[in-house]
Amino acid sequence: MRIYFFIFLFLIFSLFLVNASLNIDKGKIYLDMNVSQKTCQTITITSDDYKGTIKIRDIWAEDFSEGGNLNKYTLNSEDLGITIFYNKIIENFSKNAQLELCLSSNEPGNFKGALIFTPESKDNIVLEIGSWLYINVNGDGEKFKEIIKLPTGAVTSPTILEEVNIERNEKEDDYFLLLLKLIAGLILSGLFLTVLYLFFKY
Amino acid sequence: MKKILLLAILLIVVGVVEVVSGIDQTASVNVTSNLSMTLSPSSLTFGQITAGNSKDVTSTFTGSTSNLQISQITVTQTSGSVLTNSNVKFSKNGGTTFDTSANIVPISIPAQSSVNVIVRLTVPSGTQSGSSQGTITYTILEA
Repeated sequence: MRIYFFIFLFLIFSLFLVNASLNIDKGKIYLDMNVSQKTCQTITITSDDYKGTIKIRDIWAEDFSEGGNLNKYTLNSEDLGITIFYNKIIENFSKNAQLELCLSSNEPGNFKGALIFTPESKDNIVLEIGSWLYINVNGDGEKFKEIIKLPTGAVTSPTILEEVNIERNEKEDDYFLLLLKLIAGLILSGLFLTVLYLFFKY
Repeated sequence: MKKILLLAILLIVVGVVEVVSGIDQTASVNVTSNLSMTLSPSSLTFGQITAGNSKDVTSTFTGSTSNLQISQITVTQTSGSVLTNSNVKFSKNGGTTFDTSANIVPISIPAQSSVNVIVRLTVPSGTQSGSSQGTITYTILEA
């Protein structure tokens, strides 16, 4: 009986030993886009044990082929001509939250950065978690593929298709505008032809 | 009449090509993974250290289903004078070589594995007695 009591105490103590941690659903985000085009992604943050504020920041490398040492990621998005939008702070986080990340770039090229999520900590150890950002803005497509080494199997993953669908939904407005342009183009062509026909006839 | 029809077809083709060429060719693909990490203990205490000596404390990182890495370690001193980047050094996987936080990273944490990081605090000789407090921040990303 006494042994069980000690095991129980150990288990209770062990729970307090583990740091409250955050989970994110995307370890890497790949964005392939055109200059000045705004592209968005949604990141889901979950935690079983953390409640409180989460601060979010982005950092960028000078070189797209930079490795995993974040001390070398010394640039801001503005330094690279990238405009990035997201909530810098999530207040009263509990269980889960979604963060919408939108960005566009005025400069073509391949860019690598990271989005870092920082929880508050009452202890003297803080455990941040982050997602890599790989951006190709009308850049060197071959270099982009070479660096990111996107697994071929990953492309057919249902979760990936789901992400692509999210992206498509966010572009519905753009496609509607293109449809309008198409109709307008056909009407203008028709008008032009009518004028031309009348001109030759009379 | 034939010329007009030809011209009409040409204009329609040009118009359609112009509009279609404006369609975005972009795509977004994510390798989705559940990125999570646990760390124990949740706080580090070095206790009493005599000036000129060092003390080691071990932190254990346990990863999720993805290969992870510690990409940055930041030491921030909130009080006292001992917790500086030159006094706090790190060793990975039970190694005997200790390095600064800037040079030790990245530290790989294979999927569903645990990695021990030893934190060594050295109190330089001649340091006056007192207490120091600070924070160590570990930044975890996918490998």
